[in-house]
Amino acid sequence: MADTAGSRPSYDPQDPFAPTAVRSMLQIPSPAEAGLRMGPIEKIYLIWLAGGSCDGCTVAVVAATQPPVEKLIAGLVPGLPRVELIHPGVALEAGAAFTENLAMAERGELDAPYLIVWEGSVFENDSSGEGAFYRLGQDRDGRTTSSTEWLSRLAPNAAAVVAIGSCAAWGGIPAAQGNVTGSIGVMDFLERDYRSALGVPVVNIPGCSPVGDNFMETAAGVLLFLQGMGPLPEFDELGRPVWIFGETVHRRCPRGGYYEEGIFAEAYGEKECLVELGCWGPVVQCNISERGMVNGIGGCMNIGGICIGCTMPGFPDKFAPFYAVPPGTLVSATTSRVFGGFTRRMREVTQQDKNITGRWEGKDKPSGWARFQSRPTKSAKLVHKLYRAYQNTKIGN
Amino acid sequence: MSTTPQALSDPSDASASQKPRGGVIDLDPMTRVGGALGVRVTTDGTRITDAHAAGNFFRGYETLALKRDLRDVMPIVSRACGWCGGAHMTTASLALEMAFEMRPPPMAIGMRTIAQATEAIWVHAAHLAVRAAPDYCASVVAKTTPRLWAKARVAKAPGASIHGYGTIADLMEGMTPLTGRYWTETLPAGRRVQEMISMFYGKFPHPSVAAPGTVAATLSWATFTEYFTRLVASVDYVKQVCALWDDLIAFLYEADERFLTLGQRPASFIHAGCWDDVRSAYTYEGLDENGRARLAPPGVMIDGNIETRNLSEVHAHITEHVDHSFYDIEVEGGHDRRGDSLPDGHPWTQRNIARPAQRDEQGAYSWCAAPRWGGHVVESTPLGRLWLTATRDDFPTNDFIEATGSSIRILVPMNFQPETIVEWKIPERVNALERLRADAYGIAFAGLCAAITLLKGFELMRTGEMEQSIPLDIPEDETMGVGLWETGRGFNAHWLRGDAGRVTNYQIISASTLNASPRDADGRPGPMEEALIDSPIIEESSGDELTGIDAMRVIHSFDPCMNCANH
Ligand code: SF4
Ligand code: SF4
Repeated sequence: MADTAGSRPSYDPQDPFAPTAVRSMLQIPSPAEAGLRMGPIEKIYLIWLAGGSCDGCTVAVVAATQPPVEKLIAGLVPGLPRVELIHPGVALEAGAAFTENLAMAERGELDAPYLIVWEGSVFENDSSGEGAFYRLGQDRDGRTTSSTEWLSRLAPNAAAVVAIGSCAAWGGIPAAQGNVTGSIGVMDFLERDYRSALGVPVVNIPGCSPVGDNFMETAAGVLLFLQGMGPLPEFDELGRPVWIFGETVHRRCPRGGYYEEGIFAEAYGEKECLVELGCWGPVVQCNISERGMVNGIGGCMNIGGICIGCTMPGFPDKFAPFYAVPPGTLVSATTSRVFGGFTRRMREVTQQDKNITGRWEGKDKPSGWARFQSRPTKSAKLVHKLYRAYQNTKIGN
Repeated sequence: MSTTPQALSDPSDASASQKPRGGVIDLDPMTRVGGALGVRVTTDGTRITDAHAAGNFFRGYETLALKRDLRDVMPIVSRACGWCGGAHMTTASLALEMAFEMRPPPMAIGMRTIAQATEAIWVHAAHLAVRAAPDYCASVVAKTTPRLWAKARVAKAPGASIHGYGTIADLMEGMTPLTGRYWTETLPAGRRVQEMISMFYGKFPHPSVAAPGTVAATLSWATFTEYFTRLVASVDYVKQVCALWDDLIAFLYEADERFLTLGQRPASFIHAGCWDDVRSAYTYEGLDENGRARLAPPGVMIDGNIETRNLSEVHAHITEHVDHSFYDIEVEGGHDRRGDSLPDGHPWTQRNIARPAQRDEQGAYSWCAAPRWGGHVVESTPLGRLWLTATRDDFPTNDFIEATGSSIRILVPMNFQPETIVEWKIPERVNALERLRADAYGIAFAGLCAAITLLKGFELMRTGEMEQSIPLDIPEDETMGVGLWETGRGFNAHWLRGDAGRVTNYQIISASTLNASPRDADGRPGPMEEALIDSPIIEESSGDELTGIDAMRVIHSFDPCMNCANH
């Protein structure tokens, strides 16, 4: 596999250890795949590179189902091109044959456009040929190359650069207090004027880790657009997909009703709103409370976790210490405690009334489960009367 | 180690006379591993004569933890690894529980054990299918060992009725990355496991449901029933994976006995144990008792002899060397929590300072440090975990798992396939294929450990012991703690020092720090390097250069995760 200086290596496309891109050029679409082809693009390379990463974004994407990764790489998602994945975590080939994929992309030798997906922070000062925080293979002259250098070399001609996860998008934990590696986000590294070959700035899918489907859905949306089928997905001023990150996680939180009624968990494991345990949900742009983590299962506050703001550029330092109550909570939680407390009592009264059918009036108990018929108090009865009267007026309708 | 190239002596085969070319094989970057790894091996054509494993990246998690609120180490440090973030979070939690002298309630410990055993299922299953299996897939076997491939095509797979592959060649087709049946079936199966983890952790990777001493998930009947139905739905996959690897390994041993010595090294292991009993308490004084109550036990084995099963001794003799790593050492303090002195190089007594440099195999060549136990080179893999479990005589009484002294019998319940007892036996040697077999049986072991604890969770629900957390009492003065635990891959430990509620030192050693370590102060290779050196080259030469497949198989057998290792 050793590469002699200057000469261009030749690989046999039948060799399983040849670069993915070399093997891919021979591949003929399966009949199933060909039947699903709908747009001008048949294939796209997805080059997955990493800096200060933990592989967590990769793991999150494996969990995605919209569409699932195994369908995308088999070209079996109707309308979408086959995605040829060049990812160090799954590539069969290693060593020079793996880095040759990158070199081919740089030399413009791929037979299809390529996307770069970057996971982890970028080690800004990593220069090739010296000590580096991320070494990724060697050039033909034997000089060690850094993953940072590959990003610089491949970004200009990429169809798009997608930063997956908060480390790639903003810098994340490696770039937080105690950063000894010169970690920054992709957007900062490529600078404000960066545009991909298709004219797009860096697309950001933040989260630590992100929800896998947020990435898949965005990638599929962009590909559908390129196929001339879908609309252009909308991105906000920080390059985030608007339909995913446009709302706070609090707005769609399953515990939101508790917040509104002013009922707060006092200990971990309790079912109420977590704001007094340190939840930052009301100001954090994230959709996990709605989408869940895997196949609709999980989600931070859905299960019981406070929001620590992991999708936000200010994560982690602006949210730490995580287990202290966010300062704004004092005002908002106290307000909802007062007004919500009143609303809740009124609702309890109405709820009690609605739990009784007209036929049960006067019975001593409604079912075999009950020991006695709960009867509204005098004041509750009065409230119901007024409420019913109101329900039947014009204003009430 | 002598190798008997049985296949080469087969006179009917003309290509046998061609000698493979020696030289350096540079597997840099090494693919299908966690994080970034580069391995360089030298061969003389029949065996590997030298090997250097280099951790290729570094983020500085030990420094990132410094000066933070002590409680914040859980969400921060757990993010060092996206494969086993829950294990790092638990390890950090244990360090804090020791430092805060807190005793989590039984339900919190039970939930942690269930979530952690489930995370191990995911790590084993993903590793085997996505990283290890491609080394044995049809195109690779046909290209690198045509004679082996010819045998595979006519070899019936004894477990066909379980896993559905008629011949070994079919099975190898199934192992094809991205398109093979084993690969594509594992992704949805793995997703179901990720759902199970997310039920307790909210998020996976990087659990959001965490605080010192608790898994803060809001429990209801739904948590356990939804978990339970998915666990049951997974049992057939477990039977298939065990049968599949048993068949492959039996075939390879039979077809070419050099596979027996592929990746062989002494039976020297270190394990901290994991998966606590719901009634356990984690204190420095009570480490041994706590360790004994774990479903996966702690212990150190040197050359097949058990040196200790006491967690305190496992801990006391660990040292970390950086002579061939890109670090300088700063020494600080020489004492443990009780004030007893610790050996030089113990993680509680030092901190590593990053010093990036060019790779130099005589000097520093890795971002991975070199931990040793009492001076011994020790590995930590599922193989060691099962071995220490099989030989223990105090495995808690339960309905599913039995440790017989020489094997572990695991009852895997019925789903579409009938109830099956899978039995893992202590192998005659520690080699690449036995590490993978232990990964496969490790799925069954972890799954049924989760089931055992789930039943305890039901019991706690019945008796109304639903308490999940206790108030935190954060010490204002100097404090120390160590979390000793395991990821799916093996040993994991975090050493913490704090003062005034802030972190003053944080040190991490994980299974891959041990396994993928470079040379130590005495120049002894790390376990993976050791396993590579003297390992046979089974690849048949067709005049081309070697692809390095034999080295890849050895490397992948350790499931190296450089995220954990280098942090
Ligand atoms: S738990 Fe957090 S996100 Fe949910 S309602 Fe309360 S404050 Fe909002
Ligand atoms: S809710 Fe908060 S902590 Fe959870 S994923 Fe969203 S931003 Fe991250």
